[in-house]
Formats: sequence, C-alpha cells, structure tokens
Amino acid sequence: MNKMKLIFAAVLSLIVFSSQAQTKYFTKKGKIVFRSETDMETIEATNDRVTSMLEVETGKLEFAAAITAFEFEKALMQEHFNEDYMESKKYPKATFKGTVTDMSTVDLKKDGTYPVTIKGDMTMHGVTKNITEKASIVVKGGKISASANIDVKCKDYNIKAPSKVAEVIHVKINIANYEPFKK
Amino acid sequence: MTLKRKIIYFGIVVVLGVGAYAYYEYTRKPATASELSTDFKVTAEELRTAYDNEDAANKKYLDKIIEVSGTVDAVSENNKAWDVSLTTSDPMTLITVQLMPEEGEKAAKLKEGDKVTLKGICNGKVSDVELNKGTIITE
Repeated sequence: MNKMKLIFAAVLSLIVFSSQAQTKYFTKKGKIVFRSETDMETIEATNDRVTSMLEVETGKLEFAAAITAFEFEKALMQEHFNEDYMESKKYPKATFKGTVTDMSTVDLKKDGTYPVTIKGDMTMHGVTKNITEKASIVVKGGKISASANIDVKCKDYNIKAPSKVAEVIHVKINIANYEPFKK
Repeated sequence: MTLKRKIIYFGIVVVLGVGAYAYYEYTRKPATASELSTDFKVTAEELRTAYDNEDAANKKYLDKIIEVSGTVDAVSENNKAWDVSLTTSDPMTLITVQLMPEEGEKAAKLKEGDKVTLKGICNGKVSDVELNKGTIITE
C-alpha cells in the first residue's frame, strides 16, 4: 500500500513539475496598427485580434492576423485595401514565423524593457520574405509584452499600391500581456 | 427660360449631384453586421468543422455576414470592443465574435454557458474563426 502511495506521489509530482516547466506564452489579443503617410492622405488601420505565440526557452515567435480584420475609418479605404492591394480573398492572412534570436538576454524574473532582435519569415499577399528587425520585450510583474515597429515596402510583397498610398508602410506591432499557454 | 439657361441649370444640378455622391462615398463608414443582411446561418460547431478545410471555408464564408449560434465560452473587453467566444469541440479553435462597442451593455450580461446567437462579418481563421463588427441577435 505504501508503495502505491509512493508511486502515486511520484506521478503527481511529475504532473505538477511538468506543468510548472511551462514555457509557451500565447495571446489572441495582439494589436497591429499600420500607417501610410503621403502629402495627400494619411491612412491608418487597426487589427486588435492578432494571435501570437512565444516560446521562452527557444525564443520561437509566431504571429498571425486576418487581413479583413483590419479596420479603417472610411469604407472606401477598407474596400480598396482588401480588394485591390491585399487581395484578401486570395491571401486572407499575414503571418510571421521566426525567433527572438537573443531571447537568452531576457530575464523573465526581472522587470524591465529588453531590446531584442527578431528574425524569421514574414508572409503576406502570397509573398514570404526573411526579415530581421529590432523589437522589444517588456517584463512587468511576471507578465510579458512585446512590441516592434517595422517598415514594410509594398514592392517587397508585390503589393501594387497607387500613388496616394505610401511606398513604405509603418507597421506597429504590440502584443500586450501574453498568457501562459495552458493546453 | 432660354435653352442656354436650361443647360446651365442642368449642368449645376449634375455637378451638385456628382459632388454629393463623391462626398458620400469618400466619408462612408465601413458597414457593421447589423446593417447588412445575413448570408449564412450556422452553429458554432458547423462553422468550426467547415474550417477544417480552410481554403474551401474561406471561399464560402470570408467577408460574408454570418449568424452563428452556440454556447458562450468567454466574454471579454478588448480595446473598447467586446469579444464573445463560442465553444466548439476543439478548445484550440473557438468561434470569436468581436462586437461593436454599442453592444457592450448587452455583452457584459453574457456569462459562460449562455446560449446565444451572434451576427458578424467573417474574417477567416487565425487561431479561432473570427467574426467582427458584430451584434447580439438573441440572448
């Protein structure tokens, strides 16, 4: 009987241990804002349902956003964006799959803003491009957030934007409060 | 009235009409689901199953107005809008409808386990199948 109890305790501690060794963080509420500025017009759109996953030990980082979920102030802008430039029916998602290359410099037990580098494949409008960008990871009270400002050239992703849309789009990615991944 | 004057008046009316239309088009706000007629009525589970084949599902549902009924998994406020998730048989793929801010009062009353029908514009699958610009049809 004692032996059984011992085995039971061992199994239990193994389960507890493995759940504590949690390294994946996840959110479905990340935010991407993009901005196109020309002399004629400033166009801004927001998507606040961006899914992102961050694996602490390996630095693996992914995010995905639905193109039609970008919201604009004006209907015409949204229609042109979806139908003419991004062709969202054909390419409904934008994704990034890569790593935080210097994740080891981030101390999750210590509050602070950690400048990092992200490297990986950005896919949108059917084009995949390997990118390296500066980003930052913020640790506050055990919670992790990440942000990056990326300039995207329409040409790089084969996006045929007219002259009223800037050639370089400023993209602000803000993933606030990753949650520990439970599943 | 001389013919010349008639032509001038007609010209003014045309210019005003075109101008008004251009102004309306330029300032038009993106439509919300409540202003649009429903394209499909489905259950949360039917919609999730359809997205097992993402390409086919997007061809059918992307950018369409969908009424989806199911059981509330979670309700949360997200940047002034409200997100309501409906349960499916796959806990990794829920149906999440982002409601318009004016639905907040009704959304705040929803609880886990409530049966509800929501209407929204389908954005396809990211992790969940996502609908936005949504409204609550029945509580």
